[in-house]
Amino acid sequence: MDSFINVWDIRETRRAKTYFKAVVAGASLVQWNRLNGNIIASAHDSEIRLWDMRKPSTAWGYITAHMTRIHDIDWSYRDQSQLTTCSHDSSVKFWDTASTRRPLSVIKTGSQPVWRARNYPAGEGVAMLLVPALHSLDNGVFLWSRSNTSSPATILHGHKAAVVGAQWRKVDSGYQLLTLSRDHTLRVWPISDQLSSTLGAVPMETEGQETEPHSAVEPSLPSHMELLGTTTTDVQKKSMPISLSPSKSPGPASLTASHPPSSIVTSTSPTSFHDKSGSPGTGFQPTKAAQKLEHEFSLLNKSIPNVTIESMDATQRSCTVLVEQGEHTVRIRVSFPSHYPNGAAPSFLIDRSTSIDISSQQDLNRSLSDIAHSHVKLNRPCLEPCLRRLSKYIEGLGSHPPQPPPSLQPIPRKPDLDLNYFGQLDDVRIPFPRTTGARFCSNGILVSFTGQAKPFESRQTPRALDMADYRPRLWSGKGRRSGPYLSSSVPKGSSGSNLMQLALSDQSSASPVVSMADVSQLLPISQDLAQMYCLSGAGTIADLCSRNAAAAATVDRPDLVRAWSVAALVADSRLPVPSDPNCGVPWSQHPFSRHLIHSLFEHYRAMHDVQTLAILSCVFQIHCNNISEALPGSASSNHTPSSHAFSHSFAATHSTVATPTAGTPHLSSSWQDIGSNFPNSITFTGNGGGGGGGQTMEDDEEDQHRQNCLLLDPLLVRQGDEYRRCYANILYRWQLLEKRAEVVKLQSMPSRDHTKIGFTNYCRECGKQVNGPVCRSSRCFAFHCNICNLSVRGSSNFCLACGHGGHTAHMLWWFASHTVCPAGCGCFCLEASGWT
Amino acid sequence: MASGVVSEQYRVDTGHEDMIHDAQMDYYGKRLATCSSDRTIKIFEVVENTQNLVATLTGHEGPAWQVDWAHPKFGSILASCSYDRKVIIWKEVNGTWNKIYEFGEHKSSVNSVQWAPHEWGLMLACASSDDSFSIVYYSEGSWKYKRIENAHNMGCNSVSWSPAVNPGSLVEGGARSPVTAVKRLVTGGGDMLLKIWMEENGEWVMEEKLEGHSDWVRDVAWCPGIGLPISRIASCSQDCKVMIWTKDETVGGKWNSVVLKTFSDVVWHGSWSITGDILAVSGADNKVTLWKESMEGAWVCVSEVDKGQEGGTQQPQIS
Repeated sequence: MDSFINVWDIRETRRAKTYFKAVVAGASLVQWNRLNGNIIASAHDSEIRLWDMRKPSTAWGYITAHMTRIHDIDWSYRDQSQLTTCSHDSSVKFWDTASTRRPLSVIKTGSQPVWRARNYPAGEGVAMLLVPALHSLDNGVFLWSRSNTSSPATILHGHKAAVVGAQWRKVDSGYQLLTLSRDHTLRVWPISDQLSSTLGAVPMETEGQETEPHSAVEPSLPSHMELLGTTTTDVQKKSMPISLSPSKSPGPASLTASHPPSSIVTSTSPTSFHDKSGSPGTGFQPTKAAQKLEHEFSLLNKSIPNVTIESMDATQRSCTVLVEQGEHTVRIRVSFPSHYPNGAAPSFLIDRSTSIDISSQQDLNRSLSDIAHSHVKLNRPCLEPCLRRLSKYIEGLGSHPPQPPPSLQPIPRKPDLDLNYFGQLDDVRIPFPRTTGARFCSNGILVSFTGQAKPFESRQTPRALDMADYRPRLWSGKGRRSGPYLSSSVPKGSSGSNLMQLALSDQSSASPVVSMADVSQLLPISQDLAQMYCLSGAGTIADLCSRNAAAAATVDRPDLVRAWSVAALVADSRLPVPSDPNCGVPWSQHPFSRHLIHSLFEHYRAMHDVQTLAILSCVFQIHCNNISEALPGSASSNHTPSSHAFSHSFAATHSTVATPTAGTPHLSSSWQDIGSNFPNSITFTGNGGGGGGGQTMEDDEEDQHRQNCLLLDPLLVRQGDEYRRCYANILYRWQLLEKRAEVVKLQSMPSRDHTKIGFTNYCRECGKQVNGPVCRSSRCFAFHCNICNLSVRGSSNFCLACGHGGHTAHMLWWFASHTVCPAGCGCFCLEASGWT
Repeated sequence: MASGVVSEQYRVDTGHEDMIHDAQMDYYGKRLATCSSDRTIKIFEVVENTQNLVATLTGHEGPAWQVDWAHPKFGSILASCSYDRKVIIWKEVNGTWNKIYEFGEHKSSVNSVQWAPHEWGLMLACASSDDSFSIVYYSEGSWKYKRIENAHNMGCNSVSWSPAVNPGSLVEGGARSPVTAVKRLVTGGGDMLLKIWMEENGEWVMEEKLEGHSDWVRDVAWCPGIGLPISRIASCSQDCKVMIWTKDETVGGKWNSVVLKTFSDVVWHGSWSITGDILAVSGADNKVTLWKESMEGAWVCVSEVDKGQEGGTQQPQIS
């Protein structure tokens, strides 16, 4: 895009006839004046420049029109000095080229950027298209009257997708609006006379034929006029003329204050909230609260069925609403307390002219208050939900009168209330979507994606969805579809002027790509090492360490080689582990033992090397298990080294623990009561002497000694468990399940979600369910051998399919020569259970 | 070890018709789920440089913001959230993906979803712009939920679970029975705060409030634990800062923060590696940077994955 604007003669296509040179960025839009063929307006981002063909060297006028990019320029049909601009900053502004400092008037749409604004040739109205929102289900075409800039005169619904272009067309009876949309349709909208007059045209003589009673806002309704930048009443007056009765040939003179403010404007509610100088009569100070309310008013979707907003006044903090449905008419005055919407709900006063009965009124009032409270509780504005409820309520009162005959044209579509509502108010809160992202997944994959080329030139990325820049960005990167910002050059026949528009969007055609990078080299864990590390089958612990050192050498981790070599030395089995506390200091208390290991752990902890941590802790755990088994006192304990290895072994030394092994609580000492309370777990939770009572000093000492002999600080057991748990998880992702099992079996505590799978018998005597070999109620052995018919005390086997079985020896003997169940049930037990 | 090459392994052309907002691989790194403004979620099998589209999940009525895979012990389950205020839980059974639950209790866009550590069961946290977050969980054969209102003014933008281990218990020494870890999560919101919530007697209560950012908190990420007695959270914010919050149980147990870096543009997302030592940061500048804590405790950039401008080509750089 260069900074030239060229004017071409179509008969002479080799060379531009004239060109204008703008110093700033190139023009995105150019538009001929409709009445003066020499005048051209161009849009440069947020600025307008005015050019004269006769004096192409410099622009003769500038308008700093908007805050953000201008999407459309449209010259007036009837006044060569007036033009209309619309922009991404959600406003439409009317300008006079003679006074470019302030717009004549402004239409604000709240949060929706405006894509097109086209002047109504016959009057002061304008047709407006919004930039389609992401979620938009609302593809309306808005018609505004300049005399009422607070709400559209009507909304034309019908398009099923975003509307991208609009143009007026002259026909015999007046004008038609042509719109084209991405739903592959072009629609022609006839403009009724009433609508036309609403839009500011001189009414024609055929008033009796109007057909849509509820589609157009009645021009006589008082309403406020929003004027940007009018800070004093003087300016306000000066800049609000040209409204209802435009003369046929308005010249520049019409822009001055020569026109008195029209009746509509003056009938506005007493205080204008733009009157920042503050009129003494009301004593009103524009506060933030008022602005908030004003904001809500301006965002309000007024196309609620049957609801007419008669007045809205942010300064008085009230609005009056008329609901008409069939024979019911309800007029409600809503007053907003000053704290609204922060916890304070508005009050609803139902006017006496209401046609519904008292109980319904109360009911309605309650229902409205409920809604209001539920919203303000969350500090949210509630007017619109209340109005919708109101409309529904009145509708629900029954008596459905014959609907007004369906008119040919604009039928107000039933608004999609929720989405619409939130689409307006809530986008402020919804974070701007991320278009670039990166996630670490699984063990070492970095999944990343990036949106599109250069997102924002200079401005900071917006934070919320409603921010002005969001939509073009989100839409211009549209893969295969053509974006809504394609140039639409519609030649304008009647006035002879040309319309030229440049495409705004560059079309990148690829669909988004996700790339996955292997970043496992950055991580301290290695799959190769995981496969090579071994925890069993190497004889002594020192051998195990040496083998692991060798494994580390193959993957080029010299630090690990050193670490394992040290570990091998520390874990040497020749180092003293005295069986009696009096026979010398155990090796583990040597500075190069436990402390060294501890510092090894510290080092790898700092490196987050969970692999090394886990394997080291496994190896030393095995070492610890070996030692505690070798020491006296532990032999008698019934602990199972595989799953209850570490902490259980301490408790087991008391030999007073009720163990679940035989099912009979064989209690060997005075701990009977405690033991039977916890039949399946270790009974002593206290350390050392915590058990109190019968524990002797020797026990204490022995226990202490045992702990002292261990190479791992018993206090760090839980951390070791946690390393192993994490590492097991990593192994799972690599699907190294055997390695994982080796690690997990060293856990001192079984995982919590471990569910026991066991077999239960039904006692032959009493028929009760028995967990274990002996029935508690009849005191007999529960399981009987099907061959010798005696109860089984020792090892047993049974068929999983039929449940018959008996002594292992008998079963082996039987199935050496048979394949059928010894009980005679006909079950082929060998095949069914798969045991031999 | 100090730096490494981020080599691009493979690329998946997603075929989405609009920009994508999240992409995540499953537990084993075999399948990829993406979600997009085109309102669909796509699932690809990615094996050895080949990709094939397994499913296109339609059901959202607005742009889908985030996806998250559940732990495989529950089956192939994916959760997604969207602008349409819905959270949908999808499940694959015999190769076909179906919606198994739709959660629609939020009143505004749901911006973030994350499954809890599998130890706590099938439990999902959802953060929404209606100021609340909710916990959706499967229990006794049906889906239930708890909604925590007014968690953040101006909406919850992100949620992240703590690991299923209390770092505090790691320094208490050899307790003999497994301690049930208290469920915790962190949320970040439009009120510039991070809030840490814990479950207490079945109710979610705020435990701590972390102040430090000067604009919306866009993302929070609780660092996976590997058995260290510390908790760590990364937060990304509209104020272009990434902050690392650390609570060390061995020295008092207070949350301390450091600013990782102030970036040139908004930072949107942070993601921890499985070992919890590397943080991937991505933001509006279209860059992905990897950060690692050095032995001295300083955060250094170990690699930058710079995205080219043409169609998102990736040019790995070593720094």
